Amino acid sequence: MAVLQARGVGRRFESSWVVRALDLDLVAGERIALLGPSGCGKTTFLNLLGGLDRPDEGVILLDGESLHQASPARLADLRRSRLGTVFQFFHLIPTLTAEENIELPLRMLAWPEARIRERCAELIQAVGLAHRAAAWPSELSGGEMQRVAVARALAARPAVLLADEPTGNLDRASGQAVLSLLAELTEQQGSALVMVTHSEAAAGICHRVLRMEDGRFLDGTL
Amino acid sequence: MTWLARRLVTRALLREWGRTLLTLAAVSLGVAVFLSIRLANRAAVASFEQFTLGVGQGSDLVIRTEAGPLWESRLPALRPLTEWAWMRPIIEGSFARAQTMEGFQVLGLDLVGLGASANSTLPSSSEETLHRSATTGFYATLQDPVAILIPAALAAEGWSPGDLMEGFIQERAVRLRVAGILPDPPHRPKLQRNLLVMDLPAAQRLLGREGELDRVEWGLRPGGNLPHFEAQARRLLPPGLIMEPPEQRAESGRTMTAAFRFNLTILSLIALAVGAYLLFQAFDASVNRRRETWATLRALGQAPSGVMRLVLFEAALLGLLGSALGIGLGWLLAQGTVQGVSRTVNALYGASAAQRAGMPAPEAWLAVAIGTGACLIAAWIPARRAARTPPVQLLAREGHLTPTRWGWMGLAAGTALLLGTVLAYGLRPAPGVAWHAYAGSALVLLGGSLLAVALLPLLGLPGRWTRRWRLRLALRPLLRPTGRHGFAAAALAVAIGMTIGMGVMVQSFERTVLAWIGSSLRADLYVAPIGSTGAGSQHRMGADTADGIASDPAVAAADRFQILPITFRGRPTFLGAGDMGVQASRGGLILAAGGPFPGPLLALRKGGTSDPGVLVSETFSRHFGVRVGEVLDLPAPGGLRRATVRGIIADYGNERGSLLLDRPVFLAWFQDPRVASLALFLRPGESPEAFAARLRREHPGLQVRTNGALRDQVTTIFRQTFALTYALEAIGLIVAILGLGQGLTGLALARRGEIWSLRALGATQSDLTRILMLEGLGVALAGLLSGLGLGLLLARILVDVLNPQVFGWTLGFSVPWGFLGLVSLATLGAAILVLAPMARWGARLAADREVEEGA
Amino acid sequence: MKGILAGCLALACGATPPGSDGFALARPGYRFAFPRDHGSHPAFRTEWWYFTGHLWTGDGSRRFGYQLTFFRQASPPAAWKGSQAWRSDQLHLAHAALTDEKGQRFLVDERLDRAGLMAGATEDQLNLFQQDWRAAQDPSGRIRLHMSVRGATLDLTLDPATPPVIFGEDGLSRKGADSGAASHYLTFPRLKSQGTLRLPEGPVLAVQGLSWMDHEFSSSQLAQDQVGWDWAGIQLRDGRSLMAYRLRRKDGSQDPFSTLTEVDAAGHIQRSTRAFSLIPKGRWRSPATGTDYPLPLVLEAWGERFTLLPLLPNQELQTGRSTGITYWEGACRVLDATGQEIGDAYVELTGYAHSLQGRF
Repeated sequence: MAVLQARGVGRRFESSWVVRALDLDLVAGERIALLGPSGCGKTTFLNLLGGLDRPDEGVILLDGESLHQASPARLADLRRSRLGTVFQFFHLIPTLTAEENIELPLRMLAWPEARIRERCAELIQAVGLAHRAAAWPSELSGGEMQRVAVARALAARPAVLLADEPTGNLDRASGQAVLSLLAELTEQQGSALVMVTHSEAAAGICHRVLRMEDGRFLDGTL
Repeated sequence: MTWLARRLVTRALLREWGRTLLTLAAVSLGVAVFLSIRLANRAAVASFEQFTLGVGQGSDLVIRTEAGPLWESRLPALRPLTEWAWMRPIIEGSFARAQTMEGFQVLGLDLVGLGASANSTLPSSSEETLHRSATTGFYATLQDPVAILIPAALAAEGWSPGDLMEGFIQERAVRLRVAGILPDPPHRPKLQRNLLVMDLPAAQRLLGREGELDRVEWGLRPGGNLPHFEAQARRLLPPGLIMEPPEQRAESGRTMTAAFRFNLTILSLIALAVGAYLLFQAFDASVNRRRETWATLRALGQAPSGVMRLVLFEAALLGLLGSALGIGLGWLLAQGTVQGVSRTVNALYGASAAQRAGMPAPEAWLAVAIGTGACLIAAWIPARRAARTPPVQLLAREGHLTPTRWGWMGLAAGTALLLGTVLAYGLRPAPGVAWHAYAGSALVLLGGSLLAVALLPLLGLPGRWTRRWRLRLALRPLLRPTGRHGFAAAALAVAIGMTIGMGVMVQSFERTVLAWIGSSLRADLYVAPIGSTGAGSQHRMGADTADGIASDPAVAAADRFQILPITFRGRPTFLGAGDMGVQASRGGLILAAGGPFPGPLLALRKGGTSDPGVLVSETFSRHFGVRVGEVLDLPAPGGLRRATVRGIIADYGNERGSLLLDRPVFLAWFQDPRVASLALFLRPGESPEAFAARLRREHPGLQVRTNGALRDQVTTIFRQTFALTYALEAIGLIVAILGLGQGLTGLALARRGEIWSLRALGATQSDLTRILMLEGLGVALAGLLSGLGLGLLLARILVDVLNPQVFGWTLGFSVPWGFLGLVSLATLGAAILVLAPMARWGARLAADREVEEGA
Repeated sequence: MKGILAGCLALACGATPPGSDGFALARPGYRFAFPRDHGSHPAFRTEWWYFTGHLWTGDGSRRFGYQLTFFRQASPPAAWKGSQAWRSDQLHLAHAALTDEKGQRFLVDERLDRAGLMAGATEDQLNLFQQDWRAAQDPSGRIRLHMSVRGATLDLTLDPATPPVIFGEDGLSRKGADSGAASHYLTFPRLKSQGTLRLPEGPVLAVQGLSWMDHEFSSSQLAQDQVGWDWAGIQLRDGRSLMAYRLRRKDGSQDPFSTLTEVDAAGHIQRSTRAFSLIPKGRWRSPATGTDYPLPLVLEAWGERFTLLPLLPNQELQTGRSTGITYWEGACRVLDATGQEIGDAYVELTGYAHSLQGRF
């Protein structure tokens, strides 16, 4: 059963279609890489999948629920509980420490304090940053920031993790570390992963690679 | 450059019209407030100068007495002076119109001799027509003892020759006949509309002042030489007469409104201080927002100076546009302000003030220069940053919002506050000098604004511990405030501080004055000629009328009060006289020195004319450095008279100060039995209202006020005076709150990535709105709290140092809690109003272009 | 404000409403008594005292002419007469002029005041003042003048060696066919004068010479068809004095009441005639007003011919701030038929810039 389904999804800016007629089926625990040149529409597609943007045509179903028809509140709720996001530029909240950044989704979900502590300790351990728990984002290296971002995205055990060029702003070694972390953690908790990238190496950790060009999947990649 | 400027600056401004409008609003409001205050100020001063500049063709010298009237019988001694100069004798008085009780200034001029002082005649063609049409009018004016010439402005209201104007002069009912219309002088301010010109002997008769003049103006004949003329005049001048340049008269008008103008000056400072903060913020935001553009330009090889020029060009453009808008707005605002000024001047000084503010070109240029200059200065630092920062750094996304070093700021704030306070309180320069208080206030202001920044982390503290994620996200930024937070808080603190400072000062003033009034106004009824207002009024009632009323069986005691303008030690002040016996037994003057009430009053009565004593007002004592026990040489018609200062009384009635003699001494010295106002103490059982009604019936030319009515009137005047102050302060506050909105808008823009990620994490629109709103309120609260403290400190300096120093007024300090609460609520309410739409907008921000368009 | 001033002043410009309005009229048989009749006659509407003269420095190197005129003008009768200090019933106007031949300048000033503190004329003797200008006769008969004009100050003592000359018949000088058009007119034609003149530049000169004083009072002078007059006071070196008074009609002709009188050195009228002519021998156009004046003039009578040659062409007075009248009044040399200088004259030409009708 697919956790996330896209059918005939298209998105238009002004009069030109950025993406069009995209179909996707993501099953639990599956890792997919969206590979393609700049401007091919992969980030747009990712935003659509994350409910951050609405398609102009087609439907997207998360656990069978149409994102298209969900109210903004329901969308936010889905993003809290079922989706996780990792950005190229980390987007950590600069005024929260590493640990607090990781806690944030759990606090949004109003988990009990004890569970938050437990889960947070577990995650910070998992991303290997226990010693930096109290550090401000500005004090972290790029690789460390992205590891925090990964932990944050996975904190609420989302069904789907969306990652937008997670290694795009990192050096090779840090990139590798983040990639293996992504693979390892999603594997561990059974989250599916959709990763936008243009690095073949990054795509290596995925079960499937979808190549995009001009807003469409290239033939035979489905 | 122009190609670039058009595309990078103009186009950007048009595209980001919201930001552009906000900046324009800030510039134009700042310019408008500043300009309107200047224009109002100008109008107030101009109305006082109108006589010297308008009615008098510029005279070169004025001769007057030090005290009392100038008897015209002294003129023949000055006749030889006519070899070098023409002479214009002048008597002034007031007329109150019956139907409207509107006050008019009566100016008595020798209409025959007036012609001789003209420098040139009319063009010959018009001379003939004027001659023919005006001959009968000339004699009709000269030979009619109630003929008046009215200004064109009054004629425009429908008055024409032959009309009768009924009203009162002193307490007598008179009927004046319009005999002609005074044309407005070319190239000069229009004549004020409430001016009535009469022929000199007719005016003297009507005012009941036969043989008296107020002053004689002199103008050099062609080819004359002023120093030579002055030397001759000095040689011939009889004792008791003084000569002064005509400006001095205007100058005394200026001091008349000094307190008011002082008020306005402080207000214009608010506009400037708040405006400067806002502009800096605006340009900082603008540069920030477009840092990529600038970085790209640099990367493409544009020299730093070119980038700087572009940024400054944008600033100049916004400055010019904003100033132009501000000029229009300022002019409109000035009309309102002038109304306020004129009401005040009318109420407090009985003089008439201009009803409209002009828009002189120099003021407009000044406004443009200040508006544009302020923008350029505000843009300077951001422009330099844009030009100097290496492109790579500019391009980096978020490393930009460096937190302020608030620890140092707190330290600096404390130091500035301390230094300012020490400066204001520590020095004791000569009376009238107050630079230390101004400098102290400026330091306090600086300290207060720094304090607002330092206060932000304190307010953010709950954010450190709280587990509530929204609160945490809202308050954490305050723990590490950026420059933008700091600016918004500081600007708000300054605006609130100024508002509170002025407000508390005004309320302290009001309380003090009301207490003073409560103590000094004890009589049951106050009687004065209709149209009397303030010390400057020239209405008097005849001694007979006063005696008649005083001897009424219903009256237990009456205090006849008279007041004259005099010149003491070369400066204008007032000499008053009252019945010390009545005052001592029934009055309640507040004494600042000289012993407890009524000791000094009884000493005055006891000294009589053999050992004359005088009470001086606090203002007088400060101005002239006079102490109790000192012997003063007072000018009187018969020459200088000596009197010992027996006490210092509180008097908030005028800022020129006053002297008070016992009435018998005054009568002996001045032989002037007229009465400016009459305070009546009724016999027990008499109803003040009933007696007042009877007096009004018997004397239609007198205004009779009961104690309560007079108090109400004084309070109303007081409130009216300061209503304007509050209105202008409110504008300052609104600008500051707009600035707060602007600052947080910039902040939201800079943090759009963060907002985007919060949304991705599942924060709803309303979560984000609440977070941004809460953060903004935190900043507002920091501004408010430090503004309150700053304001109270400023108020103390105003009350304790500036007022005594500048006006010689000792005020009791009182904290108007209600007012503080009101300002706080208004600030927070306004902040919510401004922040709510801004937060909602911020919550909707998309991350950045690359997110939308795909990397 | 100049507007107001100019307005008021234009109002004041020698405004005399027509008709005698209850003022005394000049009538034959008037008995003159002195010093009283040198004083003011407020019962008459108009009165003037005219001092003109020719002055030389001691060495004769500099020559000046001067004019000092005091006018008194009564207002139409009215109940309100102002105060004693600022009277509304009597106005005083005065003109002063100084002709400086060497300096080629003509200094003029004027005064307008109401009777009272700043101007006045006593009724019992000659005692006139207006601001700082004065003319007064002391008990010895000498007249003292003081005037200042544009920085120049003249102080003179005038000595009347003879009694005053009273013109006209039976004390009445007729000015027109209308019986009311007449005045009482008396003159000191030769007043030995000496005194000091301080020039605007500072130097004080001792001056001496011969002055002429006219004193005339009336309530109505010019007849309906008269537009102005020409007057000349001629002091000949041979001791004779001539007074010519020509009234001009609208059509340019000479009114039959025009008169030429000859007074001998002892102050007696020798002869008088209406048959004389004043012939223009040229024309001078004023650059200031554009008015044409018939200058120089030639007087022909009794077979004699006198050319009146101005010291300076421009001796025109514009008195917009007092009488409102523009006229020419200036010092002239008197030449005989052969061109010999035989005396001095003051010439007054009125009614060329505008008609004087209704003003006197």
